[in-house]
Amino acid sequence: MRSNKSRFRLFLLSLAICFSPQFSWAAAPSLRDQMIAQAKKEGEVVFMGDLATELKTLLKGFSKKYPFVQLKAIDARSEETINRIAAEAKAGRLSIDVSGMSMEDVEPLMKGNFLAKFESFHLADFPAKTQPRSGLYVVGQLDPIPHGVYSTKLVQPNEVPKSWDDFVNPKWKGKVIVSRSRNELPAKLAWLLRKGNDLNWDASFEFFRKLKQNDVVLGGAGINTHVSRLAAGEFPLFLFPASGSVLRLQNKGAPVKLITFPNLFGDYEVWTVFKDSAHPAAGWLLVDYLISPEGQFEYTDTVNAVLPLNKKASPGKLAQALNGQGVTPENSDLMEPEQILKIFTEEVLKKAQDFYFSTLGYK
Amino acid sequence: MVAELNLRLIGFWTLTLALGIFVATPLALLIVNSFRTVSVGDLGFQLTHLTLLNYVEAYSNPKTFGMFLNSLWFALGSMGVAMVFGCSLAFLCERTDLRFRQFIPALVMIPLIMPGVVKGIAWIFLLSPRIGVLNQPWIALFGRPLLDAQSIPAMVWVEGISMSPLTFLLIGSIIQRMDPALEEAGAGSGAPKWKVLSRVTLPLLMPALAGVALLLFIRGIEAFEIPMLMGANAGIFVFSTNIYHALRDASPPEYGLAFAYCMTLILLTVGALWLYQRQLRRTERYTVVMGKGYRPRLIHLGRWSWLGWGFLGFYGVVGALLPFFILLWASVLPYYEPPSWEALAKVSLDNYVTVLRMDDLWDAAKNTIILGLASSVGTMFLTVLASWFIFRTYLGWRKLLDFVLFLPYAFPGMIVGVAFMILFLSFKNPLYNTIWIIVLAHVVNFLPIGSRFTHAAIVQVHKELEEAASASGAGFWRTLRHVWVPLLTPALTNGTLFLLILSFKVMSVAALLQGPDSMVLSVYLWNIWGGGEAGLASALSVLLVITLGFFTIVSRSLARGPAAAREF
Repeated sequence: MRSNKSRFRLFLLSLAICFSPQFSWAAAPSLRDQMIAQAKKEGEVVFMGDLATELKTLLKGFSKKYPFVQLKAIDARSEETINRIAAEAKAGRLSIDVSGMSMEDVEPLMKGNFLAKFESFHLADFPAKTQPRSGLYVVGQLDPIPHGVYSTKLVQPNEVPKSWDDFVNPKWKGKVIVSRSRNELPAKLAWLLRKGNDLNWDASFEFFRKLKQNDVVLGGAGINTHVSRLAAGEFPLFLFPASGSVLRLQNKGAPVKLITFPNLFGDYEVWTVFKDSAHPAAGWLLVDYLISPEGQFEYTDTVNAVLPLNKKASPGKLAQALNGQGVTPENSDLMEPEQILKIFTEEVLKKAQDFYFSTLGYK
Repeated sequence: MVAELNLRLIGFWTLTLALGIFVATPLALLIVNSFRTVSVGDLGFQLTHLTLLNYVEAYSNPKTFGMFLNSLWFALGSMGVAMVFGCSLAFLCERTDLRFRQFIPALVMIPLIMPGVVKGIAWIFLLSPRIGVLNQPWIALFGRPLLDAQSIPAMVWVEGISMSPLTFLLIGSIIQRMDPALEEAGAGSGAPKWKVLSRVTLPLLMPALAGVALLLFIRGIEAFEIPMLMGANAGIFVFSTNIYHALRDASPPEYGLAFAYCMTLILLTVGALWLYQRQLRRTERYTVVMGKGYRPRLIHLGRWSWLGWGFLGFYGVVGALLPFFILLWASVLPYYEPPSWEALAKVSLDNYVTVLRMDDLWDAAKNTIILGLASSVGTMFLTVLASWFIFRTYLGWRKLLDFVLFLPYAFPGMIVGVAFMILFLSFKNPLYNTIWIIVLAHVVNFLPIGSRFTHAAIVQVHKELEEAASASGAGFWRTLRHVWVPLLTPALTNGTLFLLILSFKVMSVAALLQGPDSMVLSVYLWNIWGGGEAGLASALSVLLVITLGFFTIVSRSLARGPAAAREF
């Protein structure tokens, strides 16, 4: 394990290079060289979080570029990742180098003071409003939430919902499914329907009450599995799916298609590195690769159906397929990370969650 | 004599304390955090943010009582289904001359081997009023569904069928070794077969039946996959769904609330254990394995064979083969759709090719085999020792050991995982982040099940056997090796097999404790399934079912000895 002193020196060096007035592409290799030299000694990087298995299996470019760094992965939900990092960091035995999660889950890691600042010249190519001022995490990709997905066998093209009201049309009574995992949605919908900068709880709650009156089915077992139930013909409509599972099934010929109309909620996927990481240089190289143009392309080409945020990056196949179905940055409500954390506080999310479960019949 | 007593005392307390530490850590974590306002990353033993609000919220909600009643009906119903099927199948397999009965274990194992989530989805696809393979023709004929997938009777059926293999294994291992003398005496006095069965066999099996029923009841209370998949969608909530909901659905997780609910599970477990111990107060009444002639005679079914075949056929088709067929069907399609000529055109082995080429699959398989063998054998070894101390010694505090063995049933796997993580991070050791910490956690998790196998078996072996060994000068270890192990082999084999299969399936502990090099198949399968790849997950599940089915047949034939092996 590296000593704290050498880790601190490495950090200072990376900061000095990044903020130097002479900083340019030509200067960048010296930072990278330092990191590469150190990463060669470290030999591996451990990633934990959403889609870890896919990242390890499908992200070939990183291993090709840095063959001396073995990418190891632990697939886990956000709270499992956070619990583990907190327990390990408090015990001084952190085994995770990089984590990946949704933007709103990153707060406990910030509060716990576990995160290290991350700097890279690639960040200059991101829209400024998408990156946190603290530099404590990196917003890698945009993950807009489509309004829904429909079975092309059970829904005629002229019946596809084009507004929120269309989802609560009586003809879909008992035929719309939503996921338990999406319990933060009343808050997000309240933001999309906002009055000025205030959450419009009334309009959002009204929509969910109408859904309930229309006998919406509160489905279990995760977001991704419900799309299979649409493909099987069990339900015609699924509200607020995850894009990735829809595209994967589409690629296999399943009769499902995304539903989008103007104004999508734009979630973010973030990467974090840690203060007491066992492999800080290898962790830096992994995140640096993920936000580089080639990394952004590869990630959105093979790993996940999200949109690259690096302006120099071309969208990969999965991102292009999203664009083709109306999921674009232009159609997404982009917010500053600080604004997200300020608006979607723990209390707001709890209010949304309690309403979601009590209205849809859970509690 | 004094030296031997001291040795027993030392052995007893070593075992009790060693197991006690591993059981007490999750228990303490659960109790402490049930009184805390605890958020993500804050789970631990620190006595901060103390509150009673978790209990107020959990038990002041009027719906909690309704959910508790639902849980009772669900647990009792599924226990009944499992007892009827498991006991009948064990009887047919072990005590009758039904042809080809050697294959019953493999058939019975299918519901056990199928992962819970996959099984739940398979039954939804069978019983869905919209697309159900069983319900569609039924609705066409009778205008209403045979059984609605999202109803308590359907939940009871699926959970009961899922638990019937456990009943089969537990009861089977006992009746396989029953002393036929009492039954023969009954038959010799002119009693008809049914009377011998009801007046001799069943009363003798009472402790085993009570123990199994208790175990099934607690499992039913704890079960969440089937209630979650089949009940929650229709507004049918049970106690375990609430715990799961607080831990998994709520964001951030409401740990304190979940643990406050868990306290009810602990009280139920303690109450059930008390009932069980009362039942076993006079263990001598139930000794059915004695020093001679312990192989029971097979009952000649004769013209009643058709009944046996009919029952077996019903269970085989409806309980095991239909869900397996759905799994198999899903595994050869790019995405699931109900069987049709149109869908038949899409059948291919692509999912199998993809699965077998997946990175890390073979590493995960190797880890799973290590985990399965080590945790099942380790658990059975410890529980044999513990059962011996409990039922074959008169040491004070031996009921404490029984309590320690049974208590983990009340913990969600996640609690054991977090507690072990905190415990093994608190001191320097080479186990953290390796497969061996998962093995230890599985052993703790499996103690209640392993001990039911060994308890029920040991209670039924007469003391005359060890007295004879002792009179011949054999010490504890020689008696264990030459008397106990041969007599307990069926129970040990069944228990080991069951735990092996369970360790292949259980993912909650491994998901929390896995390191970068200790991925196991249950987590691997869950990741694929959770990613929406139902076809790939089904293909991997089919491969698991076939492998474990083969392993079941081989291990049982080996356990029965060469004569039984020749029957194949």
